Formats: sequence, structure tokens, C-alpha cells
Amino acid sequence: MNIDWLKETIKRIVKQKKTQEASILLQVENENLSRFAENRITQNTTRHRINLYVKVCHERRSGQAETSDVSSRGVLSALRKAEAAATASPKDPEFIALPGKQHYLKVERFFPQTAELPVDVKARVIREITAEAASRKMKAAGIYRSGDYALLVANTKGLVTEHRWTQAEFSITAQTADSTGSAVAEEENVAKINPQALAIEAFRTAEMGRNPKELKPGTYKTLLTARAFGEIMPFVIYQMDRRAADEGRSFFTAKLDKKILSKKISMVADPQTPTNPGNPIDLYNDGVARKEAAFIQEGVLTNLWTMRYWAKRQRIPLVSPSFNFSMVGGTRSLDQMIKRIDRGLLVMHLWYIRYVNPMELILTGTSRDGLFLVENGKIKRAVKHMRFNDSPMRFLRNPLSMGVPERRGGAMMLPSVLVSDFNWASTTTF
Amino acid sequence: MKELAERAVETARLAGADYADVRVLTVHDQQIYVQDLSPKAIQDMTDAGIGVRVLKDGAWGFASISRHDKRSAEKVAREAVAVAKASALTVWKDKVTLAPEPAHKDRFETKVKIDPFSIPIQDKLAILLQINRTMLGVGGIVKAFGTMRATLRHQFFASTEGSQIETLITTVNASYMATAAGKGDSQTRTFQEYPMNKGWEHILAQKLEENARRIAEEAVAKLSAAYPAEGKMDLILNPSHLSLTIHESVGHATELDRVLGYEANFAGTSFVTLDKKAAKFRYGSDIVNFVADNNLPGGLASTGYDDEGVACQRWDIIRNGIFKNYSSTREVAPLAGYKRSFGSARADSYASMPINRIPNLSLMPSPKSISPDDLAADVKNGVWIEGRGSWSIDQRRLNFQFGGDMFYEIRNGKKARMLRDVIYTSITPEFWGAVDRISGRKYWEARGFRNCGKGEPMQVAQMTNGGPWIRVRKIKVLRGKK
Repeated sequence: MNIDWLKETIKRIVKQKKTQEASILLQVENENLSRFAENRITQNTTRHRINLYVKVCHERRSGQAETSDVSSRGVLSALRKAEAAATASPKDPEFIALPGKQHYLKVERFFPQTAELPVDVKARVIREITAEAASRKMKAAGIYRSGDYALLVANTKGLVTEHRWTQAEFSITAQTADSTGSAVAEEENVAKINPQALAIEAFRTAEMGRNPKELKPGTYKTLLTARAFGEIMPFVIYQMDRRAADEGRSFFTAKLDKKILSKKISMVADPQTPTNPGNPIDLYNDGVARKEAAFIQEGVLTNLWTMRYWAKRQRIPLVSPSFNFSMVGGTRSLDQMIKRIDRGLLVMHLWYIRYVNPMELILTGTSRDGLFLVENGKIKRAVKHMRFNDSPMRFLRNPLSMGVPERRGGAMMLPSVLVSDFNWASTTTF
Repeated sequence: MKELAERAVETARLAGADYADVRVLTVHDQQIYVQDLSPKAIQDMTDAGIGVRVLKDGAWGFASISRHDKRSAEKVAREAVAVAKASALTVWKDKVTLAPEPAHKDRFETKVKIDPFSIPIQDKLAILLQINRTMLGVGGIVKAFGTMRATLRHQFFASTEGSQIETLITTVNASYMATAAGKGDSQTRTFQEYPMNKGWEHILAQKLEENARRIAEEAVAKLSAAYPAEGKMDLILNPSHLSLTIHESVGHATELDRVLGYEANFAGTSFVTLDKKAAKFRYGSDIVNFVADNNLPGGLASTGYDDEGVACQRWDIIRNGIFKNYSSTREVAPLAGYKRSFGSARADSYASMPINRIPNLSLMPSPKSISPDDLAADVKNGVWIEGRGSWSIDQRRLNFQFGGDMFYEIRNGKKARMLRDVIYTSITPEFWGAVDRISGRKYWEARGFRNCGKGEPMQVAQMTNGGPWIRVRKIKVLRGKK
């Protein structure tokens, strides 16, 4: 499936459609995910998957259909189903017509070495790493994933585009009898991932985590690694909905253009960021071109994301929703950040984060795979895991220090953050 | 479907598979979303493909393709064997051995009185839009959401052991939510999702429209509700709320694959380690009985057979407070000494390998006719919680924290003023050990989930987690607001 197929298909739809407008979105996935646990591969999943989404618009109505059958007959069938759905719908007071031709930012995210990574090469890496885990009397679990993906979007108003990319991910959790340590990297280019180094990091953290002792819950100076911070920030992004703010049901209500965070905090979404490239197509908004958008500049809330209808109604520029963003940080490594702590906690990874109070953006979750007491700039001992209840909108008003930004989740560049009074609310038994 | 499945099984066998199973699957899914008075999405989805799972030299391989033709069936069967050979590079001990299961030739279909796909989309939209209109008519409501979904999952399973099983599973659900804003706060109230493997008759039975005004009025009332006092107090929990507590603290904790470390990198492990079975581990108080039942009428995991061809069963998880059994797949069952799998292997599509999932798991009601008001009768200071809110639990399923959707203070045995932003936290065995009274069968409800996430690649599964109302003593309550 390529751009020629896309152009041919949309041409055919122009002739076959019974509605005013139509669009198609094709998602292609060719992926292998080798999963290991207990020092061996426990699952090994290969997928060749194609899904076509058809949307039609007619007299302020719309309908959608999805199919995995991309033959001419399959596409026509999906078109007719979408038309039936649209016909069944009453007129939509929030209807918005499909966008026209777009100019997309050029983003290179396809690396043949990732797409072509053989499954047996991954198995050999896993064999080497799990053997090392066994020699350390540890158990290793994780994944080694690689694949190539494509998005092809076209509509009857002249929008035609495709974006192809590759992605690889290696993650590992090392377990001892009473501790765990983990590490993960996700990149378009598999050459940027070093599974052996990640494994060593996980082994070292698990080793340091042995014999954890309980610490009384309370507020502690806490260093969130870039990974842990990157697990919190998507919950902030999700809430940055302009409509929710305008309707008075969000933390961000009446906060635009106001200073809400420390001057140290800036956050920009730009798919062309060389160290953090992203998908240039806004799939939340009928395939329009994503543009660079600054959400927070030196602590001032400068933008919230919108959907096309709301942007038009409020007569404001469209800002695409995106979990692909970059934050400004400092120059210190994690070790240098640790040296700045007189007494506090270092949290490696956070788990099961959920909203407690969306209006205050209070989140909860627990530490995982390493929580350490730091004294006089050195890791003193492991601490039994704890649950936090806190708001990033509170602790980012005055962070003590920020580290060098790192790429996390294959989409975010963000730093480690040292917080003066992170609220650890309760403890668990391990 | 049958022909494709047979072709794939035979190709895998000829390619050297020691064992192979094939799922040829077509999922028809209709989803409708309404926001305020706008029909935001009307989606008709068909996802079809073939998934082939093989064992070769004691290691797994899996390959899938979104096509239904013979050439594709053969291609993925051969690819699955090649993948298994790569997996085998890491398997020098602990080779996979499957618990035995008789070969089944059968067909299972959800009992449906009214086909949900026969109901015109116009009618479904009309219900959702009327609900939103009603809710938006209540002063203070700024937002209304509604959704309705119907799914038909048609699968043909075949294996080298001779099983050939066709299943047609119909699932329906609907829910809606109102958001009120004012006085510097925003509060929501939800008519919560109550999915079941049934037909349109289940949607009709829920009285969706009749409850819309009440839901909206309660959302507005929450804006003026008091905040809870913090500290240890008694809780009365309703079945809708409890379903999530059950799911997280018992369902996931007793999945055998987690116990064995298969999910250590993602969903986590479990505190219910293998030694706890022989040690007769006390999971809860004497009145706490959990039963898994994948033949529960209308249950979301009531599918006749699981996704590796094991017949659905009923078994004890916890009896009289003592831990009894796990849920299992054919791979992990023998590792805990079981001679047969309990049949809890599920895959969310043709493109996913089946993994150990929570079954229909329910807390059993009291044999006595105890009502929710009876539970509150001797509570001096407590909180009454209905519906699901915020939820989080640690990776070994011990420390948890839950919110809810609706809260009332309990004062001197009576439900009193409304509260907002209540959360409570506990440790799993301490929580279930503090349950001292359970309501009778009349108040038991089969609540459930369609979005249980687990596995890498992430899969979503569905299961029913039913329960009665319960009373839990002296649980730590917090205020979910600074």
C-alpha cells in the first residue's frame, strides 16, 4: 500500500460516493514483539495488520466505517456503511467540513535497519541478556519490539499524504528475591538502542534495591528521573483541552497567558525536533498538518490544544493535540542531580498513574523498580515502595533543579526534576 | 472460516510445529458517541484476520495477518513456525508443556433475544441525544457525554489436537456522564457502563432515559457537597464500585501468569505467590467467598471456550476467606500443579496471542436477606460509596487507592449528607479481612469491564466482576483535594 494506491482509491471514491465529502485513513503495521520473562522468550508475536477508516460527510452529517478488507470491494463496502451511518444521523450542530489540501512538515522517521531487524537477531540478544541475568541470580523479563508503520490519508477535497516510520523498543525488568530494576528505550532507529547497556542499568538498580526498608509516608525532597517525569506529563497534556478550559471544567480554566509554573518550565510540540521527531499528521483533526506549538513558555501557559470545531467557533488558531513534545531542562546528569540532595528520595519509575482530582490535576500512582533514600548526595539505601498523591501543577511551580532532557516513550524529550516536597501518601509492603 | 483454519493448522504441522492452533476471526463493532447534542461519532467497524500460534521445540511462535484467504493462512502458519524457531534459541530449559484438554468439536453462541445490530442507528442516537438533552436541561450542567456499543465476535478455533470450535459472542453496553461546573469546581456523575454478553434487551432493561435527570442533578449537587473528614472509618460499597476493587485486588492478583513472573516487565507480578496455596493463605474474612464462573449467564467471559479451546468452567478462588485457586492458561496451569487449565486464555483480536485473563469473578452474596441499609445500621461514622472513580494499585496488587462516583456520609446508622472527592486506601488482604457484613442475593449485580489492559503488545479483555454490597471496617479515608 503506497501513495499511488491511496490516490487511486480516493479517485474511485470520488466516483462512487453518494455524499458530499469523503476521506480515507489507512493504517499499516508490520511488527514483531519478542517478549521474555523468567529468562526465556515467553511470547513472540508477529503482526501484519491493515485497517482502513472511511469517513463521509453530507448535509452536516457524518458517519464512519472501518475495515481490514482493502480490496476494491472492501473499500466500497466500508464507504456504503459509512454513508448508512451518516444517513442515520441527525444534523450535527457541531459539524465541520473536511479540511482541504495541506502542507505537511517534512519528518524523516523511517530506518530500514529497524524495519528489517530479524527475529532471530533479537532472540540472540535476549539469550545473551537472560544468560547474564541468570549468572547474577536474577530473573529478567522484557520486550524487544521492532516494526514499520504507515499512515496514508486522503480526502475528496484534495488532502493527500502519507507518513512512514519505524520504531524499536527494548525494555527489561530484572528481579531479585526482594527488588526489581528496569530500563527502557524506544527509538525510530534501532541503532540508537543498546539493549546490553539497558540490561546493565536494570541489573544495577535491582542490585541497589535489595533489602528495602520502610520509610514513613510524608513530603520528601524527591528526584523524579526523566522516565518517571515522562510518565506524569501525558496526564497534563491530556487535560490541556481548550474546550474543557473554556467550559470551566479543567485546571486550565482562565489560565491562558498567565504564569502558572516556574520560569524553568517550557514545553513545545514540534514534529520536526531533530532529537524528538513526531508524526506530522494530526489524526484527531481529520488529517490536518501539525504545526509547531508552544504550550508553556517560561512558565506561562501560551496554548491549549483544540479540535477543529472549537477553534472555528471560538475563532482561534487550531492547535493540534499531541503527546509528542519537548521540554527545556538543565545541564546536569542524574548522578549530578543526586549530588544536590541533602536528604530525599530518588524514584526511578512510576506505575498506575491516575487522576484523583482533574480540577487540581492531582494524580496518584506508586513508585516501581527502585525507590531510594538519598543522603548527603549519595544513595544510602532502598526504600519500600510508596504511593504518591500530588499535582505536577503544584510541584512544577518551584522545582529545585532540572537535569539534561532525555527522550522518553519515543515521543517526549524531558528532564529529570528535583522537587522540594513531593507528597508520598502511603506505603506498600515491598 | 473452517477451511482457512484447517489449512493453517495443516501448514503449520507440515512446517514442523509440534503443536499449532489457529483462530480465524471477524469482529463487527458498532460504536456511537454523543457529546452534548452533537453525534460525534457513528462508527461501523469490521476487523478480520487469522492468528496462528505454534509450539516448536518447547517455544512459542505467533504470526497474524488481516486477511481471510488461503495464501495468507499458509503464509502466517509458516511464519509462526519460523518465529518459534527463533524463540527456541532462548529456551534451554523450562520448555512449554500444555496442560491436557480433550479435543472439542462444538459451537457456542451468546443467547440473544434482540439482535443489537437490528436496532436502527437512528433509534440508538435518539436515545443518547434525548438523555443528553435532559441532562443539559438541568441548571449547572456544562457537558454531557453518551455512548453505546454492540460487538459480535465470530471466531473459528482449530488445533493440531483436533479441536474445532466456532463461537459467536455478542456484547452490548451503554453509559453516559454529566459534568457540572461552578463555584470554582467541576464534578461529574456517570450512569456507569454495565456491559454484558446479551442482546439489545440488556440495554432496554437498564432504564437509561429514566435515570438521566437524576444523574445530572446529582452532578450539580456534588458541587455543593461537603468534603470528607480524613481518618479511618467504615465503608459501605455498592456492586458497581466494588466490581473495580474486586477486579484490581483479587482478579489480577490471582492470575497465575503474573504469579509466575510472565508480566514482570509490564502489568506486574502478584503477592499471591505459589506457596500461598499450600499455606492456606488468609485473603479475607470468613464471609469472603470468590467464585470464578465462565459459564455465568451473560458474563463477559462466558464464551463456551477460551481462546485456546479449553471449555469454560466454575471454580473457587477464595473460600471462607482462604485462598484456593488461580486463573490459568494451558501453559501456566501445570507450573502450579494443576492437571487442567481453568480456561482463562484470551486474545483481544486475531493479531494477539492469548494470555492469562481474569475470568468472570464474583464475590458471593450472603445467604441472608441483608439490605444495604442493614449494612449501614450500626455504622457510627462512615462513608457510603457508589460507582467507580479514580483507581490505582501497586504492581504486586497490595497497596491500592480508589475513589468513587457518588458519596454520602453515614452518621449513626443512617445515610446522611452528600460528600465529594472521597478516596480510600488499603492493603489487599487487610481490606478483605475487614469485610464484616455482605448483602443478600437480591442486591448482587454482575458488573463488568470491556477495557482491561494487560500484556505486551497491550491487549484489552472483557470480564464480569459481580458482587453484592459490602461493609468494610476502619479503612483509611482521604480527601482527594488539597
